[in-house]
Amino acid sequence: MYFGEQIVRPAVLVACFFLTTVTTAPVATPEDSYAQQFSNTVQMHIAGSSDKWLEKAAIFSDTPNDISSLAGVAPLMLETWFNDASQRFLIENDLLAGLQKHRFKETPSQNQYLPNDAKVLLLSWWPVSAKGATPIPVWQAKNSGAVERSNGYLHWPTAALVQTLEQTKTETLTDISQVAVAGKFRPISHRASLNSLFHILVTESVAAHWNEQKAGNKLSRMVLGRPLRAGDFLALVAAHGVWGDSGNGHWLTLWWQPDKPAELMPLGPSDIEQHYAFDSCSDSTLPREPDGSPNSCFNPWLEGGLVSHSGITPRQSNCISCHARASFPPQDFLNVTQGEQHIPPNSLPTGMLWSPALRARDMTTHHDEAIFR
Amino acid sequence: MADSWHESGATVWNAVPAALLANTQGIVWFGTVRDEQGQFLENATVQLDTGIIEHVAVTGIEGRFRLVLPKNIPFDAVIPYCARPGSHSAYIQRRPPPRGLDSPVELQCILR
Repeated sequence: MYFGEQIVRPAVLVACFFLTTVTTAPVATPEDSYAQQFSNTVQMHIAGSSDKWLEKAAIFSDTPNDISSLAGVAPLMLETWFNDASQRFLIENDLLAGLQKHRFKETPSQNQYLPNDAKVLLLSWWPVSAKGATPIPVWQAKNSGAVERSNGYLHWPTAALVQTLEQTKTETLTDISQVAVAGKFRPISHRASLNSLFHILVTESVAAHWNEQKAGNKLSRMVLGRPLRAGDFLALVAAHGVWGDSGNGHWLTLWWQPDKPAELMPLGPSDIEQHYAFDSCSDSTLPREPDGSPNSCFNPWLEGGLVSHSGITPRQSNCISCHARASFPPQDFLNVTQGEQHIPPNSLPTGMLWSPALRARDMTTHHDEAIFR
Repeated sequence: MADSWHESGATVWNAVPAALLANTQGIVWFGTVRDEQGQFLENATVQLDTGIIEHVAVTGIEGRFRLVLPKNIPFDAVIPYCARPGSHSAYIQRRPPPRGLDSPVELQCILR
């Protein structure tokens, strides 16, 4: 956000002049262009045409189950995709397999930032039944301010009921006012078509892939009451993206928000994009929020469930503030931070990406401190 | 229903595996989810809200679940929820740990 203002503000002023004097055609703001790039990249993945991108499991071939698979944790069906430039960065900086072999005295400083053309995308899916309506919890901004407790999707008070186009032709669900989702009966706040979400059809191999993963298997059983099947759908409820650009990079996030509240920026002008809220940042602090606090940039699906021990709510968190600490050994990974943060002493930077750091931690048989002794 | 379950409680306690009683890493919550006919239910979700964070489990083929909560969370501070698509909890009962211990806690859910 700050990066955009600094560089493009004069251009916007010129554009505004032409807008008022010459033409009424809309002019793309920098936010718009990042949102559009982000939307296009997400849609490219939905369409299955993401050439030269690789998913984390294909890069970190022996990655153990991630944290979302731990017992008790609210599961998310996550995929992390790396474009060719980010893959090269991981290989050239020995971040795939060699991380735990380093000693902190050898810290390569080039590890700190992603190269300009690197792009990384994290997608969060929600299982949707081929038959019958499927509930999706709905985040409400007004309930997101508590410091003392998590506000992950298990805590969201209402749910949307999502139907496929075929179901809406044959079933009317207006007599249902509550729905069981993730252990609780919740009031239905919205009824939505699957076409209001980016989604993919589940094939036999996709179903097998997710059912083998603890997080995917658990979430499907929580939501559908059974494992995922061919013919079901996966709907995109949230995504993070980082474009290397320069320095801290540009960080982008979106999430499905069926009520489209006015205070949230939509992803884009199309009907489906209007159902997604969008935010982005390129600085951990600027531009400041109206109350003077550091810039916030967060995603309720991906950060809402974090519990702060720093007095900061996830709603006040910032992508860069968190990822500036990404390093091996990973320290305090899940703490909520805002404002400028730095890599802890005696740590190896991992290009502002937590994936290599967490993977190296999970692959390490010794305790973190033992490696650096 | 509550009474009949209560009466069977002693039997259930006798069946608590020693491993659960010996757990020192946290407070073990375990139990079952059944329907009103007494059938054990697979793929039911059990949510334990500690007031700080929710812990969630899904029952296995025998309708059983097991979660380990942090040691500093007293059992009466936890609000349990149980549900499955199409059915919600008609009855939830928790049984505190044996005297002098803080673990395990047993939970029984009946879904309607």
